[in-house]
Amino acid sequence: MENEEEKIISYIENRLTPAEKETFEKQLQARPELQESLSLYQDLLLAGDVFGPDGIQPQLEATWQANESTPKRVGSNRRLLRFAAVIALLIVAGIAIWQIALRGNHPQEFWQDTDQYAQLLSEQKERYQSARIKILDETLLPIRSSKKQMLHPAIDTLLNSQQPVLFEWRRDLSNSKLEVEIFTKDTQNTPRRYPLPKDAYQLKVKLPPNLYYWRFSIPNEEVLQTGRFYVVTP
Amino acid sequence: MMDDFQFVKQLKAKDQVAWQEAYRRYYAKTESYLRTIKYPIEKLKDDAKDIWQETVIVLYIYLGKGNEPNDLGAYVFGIMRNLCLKKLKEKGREVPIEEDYTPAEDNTYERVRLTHEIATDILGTMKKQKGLKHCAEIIRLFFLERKKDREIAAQIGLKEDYIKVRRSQKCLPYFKTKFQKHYKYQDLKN
Repeated sequence: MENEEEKIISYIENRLTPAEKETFEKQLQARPELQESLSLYQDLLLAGDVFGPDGIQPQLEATWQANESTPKRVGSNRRLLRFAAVIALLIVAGIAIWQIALRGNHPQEFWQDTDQYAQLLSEQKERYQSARIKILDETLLPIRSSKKQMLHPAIDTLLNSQQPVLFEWRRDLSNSKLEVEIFTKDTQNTPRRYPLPKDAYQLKVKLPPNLYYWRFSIPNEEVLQTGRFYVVTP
Repeated sequence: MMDDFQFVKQLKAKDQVAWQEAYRRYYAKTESYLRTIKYPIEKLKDDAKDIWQETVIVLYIYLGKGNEPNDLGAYVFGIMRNLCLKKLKEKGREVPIEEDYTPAEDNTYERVRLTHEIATDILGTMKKQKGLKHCAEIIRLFFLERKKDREIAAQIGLKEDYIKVRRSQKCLPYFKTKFQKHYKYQDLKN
């Protein structure tokens, strides 16, 4: 004879005769604890159907993985590549526009043609060979950008005489008392001095064509950096 | 492309083709709906997967109870939409005003999920319990892995009759008592 637990399982699995089924259903109505056991076993079986090792959820997970990791991924990679290409184009276009815009403000970049620029620089070096200050030239070694105090103008830059020369230094220096001196070989003992106001980080100076040197310093304390550039008429 | 009748039939039978069809029919729509309600993008993919899975399971449970939706697409969209909005709310986000979020009437999925969680927890402790030899295995294989008694008997290396007697006289009474005393049992009743 089956005990009650087996009877419930037999009922769930539809193994009871019609008479047994009728009797069992009458008992269900009369005894809530029997109904509760039935509900628990039905939910347990459903839990197995859904979350068991061969259940629906693991199979849906496998289906999702298969679709998302193989053909779809290719698609999404393509989309990603397309997206990356668009972003790259936008960046290039942005840089180009920025360069064009800067050309108006930063005279050191007014030549687009690098070959022409190199040729002109070579001509200026030759032309102003005798105007070099040898003792100063020896100190003008390339400076790592991280150690640069003065950001513009870079060494040996060609600058347009029709626009002011832009000096720009690191903003974290702007609280110090600073000075820029500009001079040629002939004026090295009487340089133009530009005391820099606090909070400033730029200086613009109009200069005629020539080879110029500059000295950036904390007056009477320390020379921070020196440099050299050419002003030319294009 | 499978028609609704075929799809429902395959789903009820838990046929492998039904899962692929369910993916094709509903997964992209779930992602798309989440985007519509401005779901947090960093979680969108993972949560879309969970919502899609739950939607299909809720549909399976609904069909398993003998229900037949008049409009399958509308019924599934309703489930999916509700789950998306519920999840958005859980994230502390405001549900769009135009979206009328109504909690699901049928909580079978939640009840079954919690039942599975409690059962797994109890079976873990039963393994180490003296006097309950084979019980955890018998219950797990029968309910959670849906094995027949002869399969369980073969797997454990015992007679089928022993499995039946052991399950009904020793294992299930103990399991049921522990289940009702589990700290999450009240969540199940609420």
